[in-house]
Amino acid sequence: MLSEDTVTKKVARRSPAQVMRLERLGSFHQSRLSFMRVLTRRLKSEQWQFKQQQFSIGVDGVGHAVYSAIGPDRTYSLVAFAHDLPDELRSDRVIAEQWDTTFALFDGVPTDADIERLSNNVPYQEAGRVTQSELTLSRANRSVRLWEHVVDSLANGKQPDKAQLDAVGYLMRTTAVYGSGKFGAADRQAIASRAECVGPFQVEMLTVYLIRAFVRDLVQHMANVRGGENAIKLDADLARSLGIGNSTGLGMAPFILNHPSLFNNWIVAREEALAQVRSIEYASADDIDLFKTLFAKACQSIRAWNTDHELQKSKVAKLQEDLKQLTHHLEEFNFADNSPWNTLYLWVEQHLSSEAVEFIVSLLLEPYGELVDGFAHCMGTDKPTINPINGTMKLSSIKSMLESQYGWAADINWADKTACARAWYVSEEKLEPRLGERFDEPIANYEQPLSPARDAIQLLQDIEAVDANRSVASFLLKHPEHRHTVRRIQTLRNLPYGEIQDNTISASLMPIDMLRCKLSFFGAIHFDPRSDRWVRIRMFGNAPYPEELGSIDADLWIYP
Amino acid sequence: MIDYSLNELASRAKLSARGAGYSWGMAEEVSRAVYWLAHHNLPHCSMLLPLLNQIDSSVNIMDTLPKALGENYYAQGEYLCPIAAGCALSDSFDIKARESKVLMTDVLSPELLLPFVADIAQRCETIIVLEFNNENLATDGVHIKTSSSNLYEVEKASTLLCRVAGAGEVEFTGLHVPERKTRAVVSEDVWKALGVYAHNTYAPASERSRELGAGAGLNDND
Repeated sequence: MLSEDTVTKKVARRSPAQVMRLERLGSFHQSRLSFMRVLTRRLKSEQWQFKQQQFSIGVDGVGHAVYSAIGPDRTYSLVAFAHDLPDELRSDRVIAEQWDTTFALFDGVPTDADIERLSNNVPYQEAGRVTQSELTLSRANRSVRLWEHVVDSLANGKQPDKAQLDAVGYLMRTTAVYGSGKFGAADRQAIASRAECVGPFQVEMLTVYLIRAFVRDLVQHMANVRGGENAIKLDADLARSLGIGNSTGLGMAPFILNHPSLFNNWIVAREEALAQVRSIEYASADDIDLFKTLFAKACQSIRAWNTDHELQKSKVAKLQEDLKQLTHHLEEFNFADNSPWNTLYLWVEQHLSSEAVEFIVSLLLEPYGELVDGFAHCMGTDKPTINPINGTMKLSSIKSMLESQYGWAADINWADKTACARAWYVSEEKLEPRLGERFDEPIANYEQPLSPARDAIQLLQDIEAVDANRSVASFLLKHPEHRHTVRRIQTLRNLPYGEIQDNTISASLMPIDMLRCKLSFFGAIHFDPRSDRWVRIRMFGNAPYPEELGSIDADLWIYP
Repeated sequence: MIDYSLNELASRAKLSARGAGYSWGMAEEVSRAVYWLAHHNLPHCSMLLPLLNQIDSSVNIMDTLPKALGENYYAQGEYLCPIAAGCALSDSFDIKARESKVLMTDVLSPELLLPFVADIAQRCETIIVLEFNNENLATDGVHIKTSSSNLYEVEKASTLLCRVAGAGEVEFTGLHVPERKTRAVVSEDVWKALGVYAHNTYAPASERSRELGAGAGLNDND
C-alpha cells in the first residue's frame, strides 16, 4: 500500500541516452503496464461476460465458432474458422497462404449474413477483404507435435504430459494479428475514443485472448471426436498453463520507428513508473513480501525460458547467473533502510547485465499497482503521425535540435560501409518489410526511410553548407529530400523517448531487439529468436480463461 | 467501387506518390492531403491520379516546385505541383501577416491545395480564399464554401490567387460543414492505377532476398 507521504524525494527518470539504446530496448521484459495485463485487469474489474455463441466444428475439425466478450458498453465477438491444413502447407511466415485457423474480431455480435461474408474472406487473410465492422484479422497454426500429443492423450483417457506442455507453452501460434484499418478493417481512429480501446493494442490483445479460449475448446473437441466415450476433459490447471504462441518477423520492426509519439508514451510511462517507485522512501512489509514472492516466481519462469538461438541463449544464461547473484544479494539486503528500491536498483545497475536490470525494473513496479497502473492510460496517443512542419523556424534552431537529439549519431563514421551496410525495403513478392545488404543486393533505390540517424546527419551536413539564418521553408524548397527528417526532428522536440538512439542500418543491427521491445510492451514472455530477425514468443500463458476471471487473479497470472 | 479504410487510403497515397517520384517527406504530405479530402467527403484519389500521371512523366520533379517563396509561386518547368505549392504555403505562411496573398501560375489539380489551405486557416484562425478559373473557394478549416462544385474537376489553373478573406467577406452556415467520412470509396481502376505507382517502391525479389530478407523459416511443423 502506498500513502501520500511514502514518496518524498523524487528520483529522476533514466535518461533517453541510457534507455533508448537497442541493446537495452532488446532486454525489456513484460510489466504491469503490458497491454495484455491492462486488458485482463479491465476484463475482471468491469466484470466482462463471455459467451460461446456458436461452435459449429465438424468431426473433421472444419467449421466455425463465435465467442463474444460482453463489456459494460459494447460486445466484441471473435469469429473463428477452423480448416483442414495439410502439414506441407503449414508455414510460420507471414507470407503463407493457408492456416489451421483464421479469425476476425467483429464489432458487436455477427449475424448469419456477417458470418457468411466473413467465411468468404477471413480464411484468405490478406487476399480477402473485411469491413468497418471488423477490428482485427488474424490466423494461427498448430504446434503440430503438442497438438497431436494433447489430442491423443485426452482421447485415450489420459492427461497430457506437463513437461511437454511446458516445453512448447502453447497449442497454436499466431503469425499475424492485423488491426487499424488493414485489409479493410476499421481504423484505429474509429474506436480510439472507446474507454476499453484507449490503451494501445487492446482489441488485438482481446483477439488473442479469445483465440486462446477457442483453441482450448477446439483441442478438446478433436479429442472427443477421436476418443468418443474414452476421452476426458483437459485438466483446468494444465489448460491454464497454455498460452498462445506468436511468431513475429521483420514486419513489426518499423512500427516503433514510424510511431515516435506512441513509442515515446510507452517508454515514458515505464520510466516514470520506475522513477516513482525508486522515489519511495519506505517499503511496507507487504510490499517487500510481494516483491520477494514474485522475484522467486519470476526466477523460475526464467529457468523455463527455452531457446536455441545462440545469442539469446547466452543472454538467458547470463541472466540466470545474474539472478543467482541477486538472490544472494537480496538475502542480506536491508529493505528497512531509506529508499530501498532505489538502492536495490542502483546495485543491480552497477553489477548486472541489461537483461537483469530490465528484469528488475519490471519487478520493482509490481507491488505498486496503485501508483503504476494509471500510467497505462497515458500510453496511447491521439496525435497524428504526420504533423505539419513549422517552416518559419530558422535553420539554426534545427541545427541545435539536431545536435541535441542526434549528437550520438555524429560520432558514427557514416562513410564506413559497415555503418550503412543494411537497407530496409519492401519486397515486390510479398509486400512485407525486409532488411537487405545494401552493397550486395540491388535494393538501395527502394530504401524505406527507416534510418533516422543517418538521415539526420545528412540533413545536418546540408544545413551547415547554407546560411543558418534561412528559414526551414526556403531550405525545404531546395531540399525536399530532407522534408521527412525535418518533420521528425520537430515532432521529436517534445518526445524525449521517441527515438531509438542507435544505428538502424548498421552491419551489427539485431532487428530482434526492436521486436523484443515492442513485444515486451504487449506482455510477451519466453522470447525465442529463430534468427536475428524472427522471434517466437508466448502470450497469455497462465492467464485465467474467460470463465475463470471471476475466481482467479487477473493480474499476477504472469507469475504462476 | 471498393470501400477502403482511411489508413489503407493514406498508405496507398503515400506509396504511390513516392513511386511517382516524390521524396518521402512530400509523399507524407500527399498522404495527409488525400486523407483529409476523403475524411471531408471530397474527391481524393480521382484528383491524385492525374497529378501523379503528370509528375511521373515530368523530366525533373524539382522543376515543378515553386522557384522561390514570396508573393508569386511559379515553377521552373511548365506547371506547378499543388502539393509542393501547398507545402510552401503551409511552411511559410506567417501568422502575423494576415494580409498575406500568393499568386500562383500554372498550378495542376488546384483543388489539392485545399487540405493545406484549410490547415493553415485553422492554425491561424482565419479564412482563406482560393480564386481560380473565375470561381472561388473559401475555408476556415471547418467550413468549405465553393462557388461551383466543378472546382473539384479542374486539371490546371493558369492563375490562382490564395489570399486571406476580408472582414465580413465570407459567411459560413452549417451547410458548409462537410460530412465527415471514416471510409473511402475508390473505383477499382483508380486504386489499381495508384497501385502501379506504389509498386515502384517495392524491390524486385531475388533468391538472396527470399533467403535472407524476412528471416523466417519455411516450415512450421514443430
